[in-house]
Order: sequence, then C-alpha cells, then structure tokens
Amino acid sequence: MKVLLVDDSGVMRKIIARGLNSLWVDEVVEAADGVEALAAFGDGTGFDLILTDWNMPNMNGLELIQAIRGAGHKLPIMMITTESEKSQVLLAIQAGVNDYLVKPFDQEMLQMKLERVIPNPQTA
Amino acid sequence: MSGLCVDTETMVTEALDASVRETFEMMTGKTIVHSGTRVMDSFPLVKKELQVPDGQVTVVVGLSGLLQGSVSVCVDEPVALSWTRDLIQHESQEVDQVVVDAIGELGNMVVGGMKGRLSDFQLKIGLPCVLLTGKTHLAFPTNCQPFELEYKCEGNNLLVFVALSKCHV
Repeated sequence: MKVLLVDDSGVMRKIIARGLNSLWVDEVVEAADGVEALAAFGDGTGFDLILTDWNMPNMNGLELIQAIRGAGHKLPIMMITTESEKSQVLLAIQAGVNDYLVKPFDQEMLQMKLERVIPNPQTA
Repeated sequence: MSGLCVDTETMVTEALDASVRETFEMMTGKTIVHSGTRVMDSFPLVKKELQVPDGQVTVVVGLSGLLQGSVSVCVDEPVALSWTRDLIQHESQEVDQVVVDAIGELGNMVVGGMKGRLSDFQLKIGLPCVLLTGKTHLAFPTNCQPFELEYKCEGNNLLVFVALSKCHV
C-alpha cells in the first residue's frame, strides 16, 4: 500500500506518516505542497491513496484534488485539515475528495478513516 | 471588558476552551486542567528590564473575518518540549527548530478548532508566528485588550490570550 502525503507542515507529515506506518501502509511519499505532490505523483502508477492538507503555499489541497481528478485519476483522496466548516467540506466533496479528517485527530480516528478508503488487505 | 460583547466573548471562550482541550487530548493523550478565565485589566508594558529569558514560548495566530485580532498560546518551556516529544518523539532539552515547528502546529490546531466552532464569524486564520518568550513580553493595543484562559499541564502553565474585536462591515 503506497500513500502520497501532502502537507506543508513537516511536523504534521511526521505525525501522519508515523500513524500510517503503524497500520497497513507500506510506503509513504511526502510532499510539501500541491506542486511537489503532482511531481511526485507522476502518472499515478503505484499510488493507492492521496492524503492532503487544504491550506498550503503554491498549490493548495483543493487545487491538487481538482488537478488529480481533472486528469482522470480515480484513486481515493482524503483531506486532513483544520477546515471543518460545512461549506468547506462540501467544496472538497465537489472537488472529488472521498473522505475528510479534521485536525486534531488521534490514531484511532486515522485508522477508522483509512479503513474506509483503503481497507486493510489482511482483514478484507 | 475585552473588545467583545459578553455573548460573543462567551462563545469565543467556550470554542477556544473546547479546542485547547481537544487538541491536547487528541494529539498527546494528556488531560489539561482549566484553572481560570479572566479579562486582563492591564498588561505589563514591554520594558527594558523585562528583556530577559522567561522560560516560555508563545505562538501567535492572527484572525480576520467578522472578528479580527489574534490568539496567542503561551506555554512554559517544559510544556513545549513535552508537546513535541509526545507529538513526534523529538527529544530535546532546549527549544530548537523542531520544537518551534511543533508549537506552530499547536497554534494552528487550537485556532483551527476554534474557527470551526465559530463558523458564523467566517474566520480566516493566518500563518502562526512563534516567539521565544512569554507573557511578560506580550503587549496588546488598548482597543483590543485580551482575556486569558489559564491551564495547568503536568504542573506547568499553558496560557491562551484572546485579543479580538468585532469587525464592522
């Protein structure tokens, strides 16, 4: 299982990557904004999930989702952000996000959300 | 009184208190104790004799929207170090760049959580700024006097200063 993790905060990337690595994710590729993420994503081969923050420099999470969906990629995308207002969630859903995790979160919440978008292959 | 009417001040206080508790409990598993809320009648002016290390770190996050101003989360250094250790297992005896980044993230999450609870005010938050100092070095404009929420975390202080006023549009 390979995940593209996009967040401009190195601290947040460490927290999320550690959480993912303790679950059923084999590889986490990190990017600090949407532009880096698109470069790392390439043609998308091998990636099973994108986890992205919303507010980032250069290209934000919403623009990243629109770019990924615009290119026809169907892989699950989950937003992890402090933006929790209903209008923001709706915007993200309209852009093509599959699930939404609001910061702060704990490991249990991360696991529950991950299970919904990419179930653990050993228990599925 | 702060720069807000009583109803708004109560809403902001409740939203912020819930967000501070949630952030600490979710991210570190630790419980923090709310030991008081008060309006700051007067605040020390920044004077030369105060320009000494005070063993605190502060993250300031600006807010705009129908309320404008800032929220400052001020912690004793042991709280900053243990927050960073709990969050990303970074061991340090002093405030280094990783601790600064982690404290910036603390401010981001606390104020983000408050913003989500106050959606009627259409708040937007700025990038956090971390100061390597604490309460004795903070000063606020007279039209934006803060109120203070005080917490205890493993015997150390965590203070939140809310300096907001209503934006008339």
